[in-house]
Amino acid sequence: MLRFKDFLRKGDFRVPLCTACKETIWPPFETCPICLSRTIFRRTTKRGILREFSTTFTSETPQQFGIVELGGVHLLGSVHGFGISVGCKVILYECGIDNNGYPFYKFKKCP
Amino acid sequence: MQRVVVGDYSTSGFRKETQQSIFDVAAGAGSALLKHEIVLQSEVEAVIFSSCSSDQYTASILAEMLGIKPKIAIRVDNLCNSGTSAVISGYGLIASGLCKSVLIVGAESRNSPGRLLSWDVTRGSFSLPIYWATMYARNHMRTYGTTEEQMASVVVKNRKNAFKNPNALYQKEITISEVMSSKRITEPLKLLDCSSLCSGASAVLLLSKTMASKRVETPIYITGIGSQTNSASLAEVMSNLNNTGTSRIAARDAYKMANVSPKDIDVAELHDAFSIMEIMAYEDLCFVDRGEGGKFIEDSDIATNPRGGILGCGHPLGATGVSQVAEITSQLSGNADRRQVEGCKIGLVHNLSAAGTSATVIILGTE
Ligand SMILES: [Zn+2]
Repeated sequence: MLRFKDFLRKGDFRVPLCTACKETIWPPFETCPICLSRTIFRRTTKRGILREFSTTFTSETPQQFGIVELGGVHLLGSVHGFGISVGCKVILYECGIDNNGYPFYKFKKCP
Repeated sequence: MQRVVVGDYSTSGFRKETQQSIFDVAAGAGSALLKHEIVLQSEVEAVIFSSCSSDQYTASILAEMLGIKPKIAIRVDNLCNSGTSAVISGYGLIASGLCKSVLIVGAESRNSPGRLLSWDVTRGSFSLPIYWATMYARNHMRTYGTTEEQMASVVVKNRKNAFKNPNALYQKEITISEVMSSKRITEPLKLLDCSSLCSGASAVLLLSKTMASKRVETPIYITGIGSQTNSASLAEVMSNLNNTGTSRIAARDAYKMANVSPKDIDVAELHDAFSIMEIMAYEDLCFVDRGEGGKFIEDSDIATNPRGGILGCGHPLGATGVSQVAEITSQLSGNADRRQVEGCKIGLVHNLSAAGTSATVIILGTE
């Protein structure tokens, strides 16, 4: 998890891959929970599919967020753009660690 | 294997704020139970403390405050599922013959660190529970046609029940239109679709059947237990929003152990931290078929959340599961006062943590 955050802090979204069984590991562990071998952190595709979404009104301006399936993993992120729908293609355009120490993932609708 | 009886219980008033420490809150419920004198302090062989508090050595502190020198003092923390996990632990100690009496106390303060799981990077900046609850609600509405009004009717029912429970945080009945017009937090969840964190404590005393005889007038037995942990993160949950798989497994195992079916259940305390979660619980516990949960509320023949559930009682995380068991025990023993469900013989407790990454089902009965 620490290595994942080190990459993420630099805006580099990486997902672990098991060196032995070749499975994608998520959440990002340094040891594969399937075969207990070491994982390596690989860059993944930035293009994903929006699986569910909604709008939150907790901040000053309403914000869209949703579940994105990206390179075989699911994560919650903000989703920008008009006319989004379940199944639409989105792209991870920014990620990092915010001032409170939380990861953030920002997606926008693919043109 | 020893049969396990819920021999006594005591729940404090769940309140928004308290000036008391978590230990004083816990000791309040524990001492109230001990004053019933079902057991002497010297007869309590284990103390299990259920809480998400960040304090250390908590079960030993609680035991010392209550004047108990137990063989075993342990703390269980499992977010919202803590209290039910603690009851399972106590069950194991008695069924195995290791102990004859176990005092379980769940307690939480409103500002508990259990309100979010910052470890889970799959949630990104959407770390609060309302975001996964929103995903469940949106999926259920789109996939099964569940409506905002159906979710609101869960809140109305549970608030109505809470009105009859002096320990509940909320003591006012509300209407569907009040739920519908409450502040919109997300699409489609309104403020009143969400439970409130609060301070509170609940205690139950588990006894071996042998020890309970001559001490407990109406013994209520734990007849079935099912529990399942699939993960801590939401990685797996997010790939299937149609059900909470852990609840289904827990229910299946508990029904099998108790040798009952869903239609045998007379009264149930269900996890309703958000209104959509109770609708999904109807389905996951097989009270109705998949997708029919929204309609179940209209023609249910099972009394659900008679204490007011989490929506009506508030949610002191570590205390919630314990108070669910206390409520079902009071119902089955005919001591639930104004909220008594007439003629109930078999009851069920359902609880879960963090979007259903873990869940527990406990079945209780008069025989
Ligand atoms: Zn592997």
